[in-house]
Amino acid sequence: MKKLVLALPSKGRLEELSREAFAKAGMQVKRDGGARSYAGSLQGFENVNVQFLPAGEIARGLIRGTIDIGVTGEDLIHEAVENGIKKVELAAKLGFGKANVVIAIPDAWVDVVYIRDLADVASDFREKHGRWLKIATKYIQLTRAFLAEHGIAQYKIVQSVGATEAAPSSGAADLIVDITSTGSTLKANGLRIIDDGVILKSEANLIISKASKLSNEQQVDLGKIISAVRASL
Amino acid sequence: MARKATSEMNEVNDRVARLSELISAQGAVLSNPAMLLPANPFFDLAGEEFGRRLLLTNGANDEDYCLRPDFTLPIAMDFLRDGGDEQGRAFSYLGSIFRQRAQGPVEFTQAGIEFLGQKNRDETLENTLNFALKALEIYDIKPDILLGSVEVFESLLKVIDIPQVWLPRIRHRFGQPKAMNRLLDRLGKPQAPIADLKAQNREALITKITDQMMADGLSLTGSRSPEEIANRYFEKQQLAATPVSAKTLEILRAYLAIKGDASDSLHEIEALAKEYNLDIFAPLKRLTKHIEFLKAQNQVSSIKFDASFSPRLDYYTGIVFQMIFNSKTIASGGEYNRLLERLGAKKQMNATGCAIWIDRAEEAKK
Repeated sequence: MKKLVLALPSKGRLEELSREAFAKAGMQVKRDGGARSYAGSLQGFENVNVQFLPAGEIARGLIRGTIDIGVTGEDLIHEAVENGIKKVELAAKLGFGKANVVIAIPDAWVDVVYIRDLADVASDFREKHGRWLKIATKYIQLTRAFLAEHGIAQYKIVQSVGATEAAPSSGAADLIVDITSTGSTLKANGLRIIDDGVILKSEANLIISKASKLSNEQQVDLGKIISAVRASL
Repeated sequence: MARKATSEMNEVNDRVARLSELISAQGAVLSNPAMLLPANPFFDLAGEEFGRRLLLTNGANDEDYCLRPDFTLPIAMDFLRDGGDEQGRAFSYLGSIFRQRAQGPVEFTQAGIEFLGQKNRDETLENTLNFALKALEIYDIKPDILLGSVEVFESLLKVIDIPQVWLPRIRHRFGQPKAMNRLLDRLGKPQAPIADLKAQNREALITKITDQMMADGLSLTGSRSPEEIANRYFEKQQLAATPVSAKTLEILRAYLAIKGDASDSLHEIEALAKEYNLDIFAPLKRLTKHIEFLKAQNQVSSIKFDASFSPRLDYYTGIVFQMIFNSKTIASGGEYNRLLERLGAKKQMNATGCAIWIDRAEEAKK
């Protein structure tokens, strides 16, 4: 019989806190082969297959339906594919891994406080500089949707693979959209969050795939896991 | 069943044949730009909002390519590369375009015409409208026509009393009613001044911004300059002190709200122009002339005007239109006299054209 696939983050604080959350809900997660192994098991659930995977991989698996239930950040679901959020169900906010996806500008832009200021800057930019205002980000879908909502169309996204916060000083972009938990990395790079520039308040969630097909037995296991986690919060 | 399917297929093919005939009868060069095109020109011209609709792929040289998302841009680029004939040229097309939709990529069939560098704007616009109507006639479609005028709005901006800096910002929101309303609301309210930087004169503020940018490792010339930031800071302080006049906002709001039957709308605009003494009569006269032209065509079902209607791309200039059937846009086009300059033409050159969504026309035929 096919086992229910439960995916948890494979390393760092996220892994620890995910396992703690399950333990608090009365379900011990075992990583049988130690930190190098990607397979595990869930005590009391013989037919659940636990997989330890990078958080971004968990988001994609949930959307595709190759993972039935998992712990990952909401931001990663949004970013995996356009409308990814419609393909999963957020079952429980877990209270850790909190971070915001924000728009940050050079702190020296003293005239820009709100998004409406950025709209003016974007409108004027091409005329003044002969190119579009450039925004560096990994969060392409979220950025486009947020700016469209605010009527801002005069910009270009520069896809960033890492160290987005360095883009303004390296000249790769004029401003950034990035994830931050304390804001200290942004500050260290001379950047400031626009006052109403929080695009998404994200945290680790227990997330169910809408794309996976489950047998009745699997549905029962899934229901038990969700109820136990919710009851423990 | 099978026979019916075959006869339907024959009818579809017959319509395509008639469309091809119509296209070649325009005295235009049938153009067939490459299916795979460099993506950057599309991003440069239309920005991220259109860019997200592209079907992208990478070359080994790290350049982005896209499946042809429309015909206008590649045709206009070819025209300029071949020297941008001063006498003007006409191009027609019939083929596939590719766009991303929420539900995944889609291939559409488009037919259309592009008049590039033509001297006589009025005649060219009439030819364009005529072409669209004749093409829809093949599908037995008597469309409702929606007209907009970028030039009436742009000439209105020239004659109202408003600080110069706001003009491009208002212009960029034309065609986006929600964003436009937010901006007009903002301009009307005295705003709380932004944080006082204790730099009352411009020079002092520029020095302060320059120091901060250098400390943060930012280039002073690569992006917004200290002068540009300081100017906008003071402009905001000034707006906080003196908002845009209520009368100016009243005119803009009243104008943008005008919509409905085209002739009625014209009367409303004329009344508004007279009441506030706004000299926008030249573009208005031109609009009237084209409404009269459309009224004289018998394959038109209705003619409406919407003062706030415009494609969201800022290279559109004169009159713009959509042809609608069963609340679906079957054809759209207009005048885009800033397109060729945007693409590198040495001087301003007119451009007019339209595209017909053949799949939707076929759908309407059923």
